[in-house]
Amino acid sequence: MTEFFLKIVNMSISASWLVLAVLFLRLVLKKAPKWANVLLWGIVAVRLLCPFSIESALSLIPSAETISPEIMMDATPSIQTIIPAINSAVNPVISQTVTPTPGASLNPLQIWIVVFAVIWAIGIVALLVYTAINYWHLRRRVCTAVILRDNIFQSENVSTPFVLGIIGPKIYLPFKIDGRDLEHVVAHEQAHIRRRDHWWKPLGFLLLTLHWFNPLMWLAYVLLCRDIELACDEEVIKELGNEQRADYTQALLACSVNRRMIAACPLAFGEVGVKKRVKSVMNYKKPAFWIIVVAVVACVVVAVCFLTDPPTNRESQMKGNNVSESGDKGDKQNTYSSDATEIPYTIRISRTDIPIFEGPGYDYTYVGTIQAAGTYTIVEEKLDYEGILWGKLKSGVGWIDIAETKSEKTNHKPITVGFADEQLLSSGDYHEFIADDSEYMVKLAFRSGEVLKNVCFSSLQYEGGTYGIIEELYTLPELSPDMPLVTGVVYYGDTTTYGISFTDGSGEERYFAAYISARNGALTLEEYHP
Amino acid sequence: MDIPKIFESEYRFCLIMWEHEPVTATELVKLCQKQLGWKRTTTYTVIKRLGERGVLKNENGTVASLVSKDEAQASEIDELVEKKFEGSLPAFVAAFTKHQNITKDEIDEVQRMIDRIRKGGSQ
Repeated sequence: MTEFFLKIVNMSISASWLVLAVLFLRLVLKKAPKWANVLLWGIVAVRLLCPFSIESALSLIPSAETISPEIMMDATPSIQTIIPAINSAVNPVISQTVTPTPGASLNPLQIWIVVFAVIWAIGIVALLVYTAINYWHLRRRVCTAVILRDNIFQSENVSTPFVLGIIGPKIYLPFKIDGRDLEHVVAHEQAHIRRRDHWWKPLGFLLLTLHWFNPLMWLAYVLLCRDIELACDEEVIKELGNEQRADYTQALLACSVNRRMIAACPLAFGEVGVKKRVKSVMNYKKPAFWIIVVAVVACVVVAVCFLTDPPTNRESQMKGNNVSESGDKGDKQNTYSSDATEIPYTIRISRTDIPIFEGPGYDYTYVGTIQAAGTYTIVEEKLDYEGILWGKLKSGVGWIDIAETKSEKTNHKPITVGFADEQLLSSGDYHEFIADDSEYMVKLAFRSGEVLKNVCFSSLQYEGGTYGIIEELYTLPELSPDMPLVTGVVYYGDTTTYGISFTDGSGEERYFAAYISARNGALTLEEYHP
Repeated sequence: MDIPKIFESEYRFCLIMWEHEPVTATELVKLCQKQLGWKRTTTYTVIKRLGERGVLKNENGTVASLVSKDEAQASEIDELVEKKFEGSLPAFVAAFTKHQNITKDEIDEVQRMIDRIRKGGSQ
């Protein structure tokens, strides 16, 4: 859910630039027909609906991903807006309040983001419930409405005419309405239905519920409602003579309502800005052809510039330019690799216990262990918040700790453990012992670096700072490097531990515990002394 | 006697009821659907509401009125005269005649009604 929330926030921010552009255009294109305004709001809706975008150099959106999801993993979290002033104002605050302490497993920014995501979800539910209740009340009020003709009903519970219903919309009128007013009002409401406004308004409201935290979106919705009404007025009166237009304004005044209702439904006749509408109707002049052309061109330009995302290399250029306020060029962003190695490069792995994780950090989910020595290719590097350098394997399996991989420690480890892989299991060259044959069984593969004697596999219990053997499960007189031991066990929760003990090449008795790390699910081997 | 209040849409329903009563609820549903555009549930709800208010009675699915059309209309006039003409019926009639065009036949009919009331004594 947090990822989705961050996506929505980013979409909201990039759409906000579009809303600002639309607001500006509305002022500039005052003489243009009002359906152009509605079209512009339609472009905003498209921006909010489509999660993917085409990249184009013509894009005027400063950055499509202001808040990167990786911000939760950064050592120095920061956001990238196009305006350096905002960046230098906001980022120091962010780094002071929410920089994670290295070594701590919980990043404070992660917690904050989760909290915000929850609040956002609650807000959506609240808005939807409010709308549903409103709609239900309205339906109840007009259920006794009496049919006049076609889809037009009248009820004593209706104070201002409106359209209700998304499929099969119905027009509701008050009983006491003048014959002339009635015709004008019906014409207006039918225009709404023809223009499918009874779809656009609820759709707009739905998008608003997703973006309720963004005040620009509320403004956009209110203006959308206004523009819808004005566009309908225009459509009705453009065929009318002056005197009929005066009658139309009569009807407007007669049916106007003081209450401000912000809702998804209905489309009420006298709901929005009656004064302004009367003025517009009386001053309406058919727009000149060139104005219409300008309006259409403006819409197309807006669509191209704002429905497309900036090309990603521009984004990374900007990221590079937005260095910390000390302006130190040597102070590289932690997403850049170290100077020494050029990607991609190969690395020789001789250890058989390097764990692989889903992402660049010990906090990510454990994927597996590199159990076969050999040459591997690294295609990407990243530093995590603990300052550890991670390399992404070409195979795409995951990330490994570069420093740990390069260190030669295991050559002194007599034994390593990993989950048994397909290659080993299909070869059949191993000893097998199944301790617990249930659906949760996992197979551990113990590989020795030298010939080990008196090997004993047992279940362990952590007590008094060290491990104690609960039960000896399986013994093997000898374990050699070319034939590993595979044991089928179940890890009940993360306190279950299994152990393996043996006499090593130098005649010493060694004891190792194999457990699942609670932090990342990694299978870990730890030597202990009973 | 206090005639219960009947709202406009309910009044349209009552017109149908008065015209066809006594009538089964199911028949009313059909009529209301045709003439008023009401859903089945709406008709049943209105029957229940008016029944509770004492406008009609629903016995074993047959609906009959407790308040007649004349009574309902008279009640409306009373309320109108009371509210808008400070209780003065002549004022109401005067306003009425000023506003509408009454034909000669209608004047004669009204005259006959007044004579009948006079003959029947004060009521």
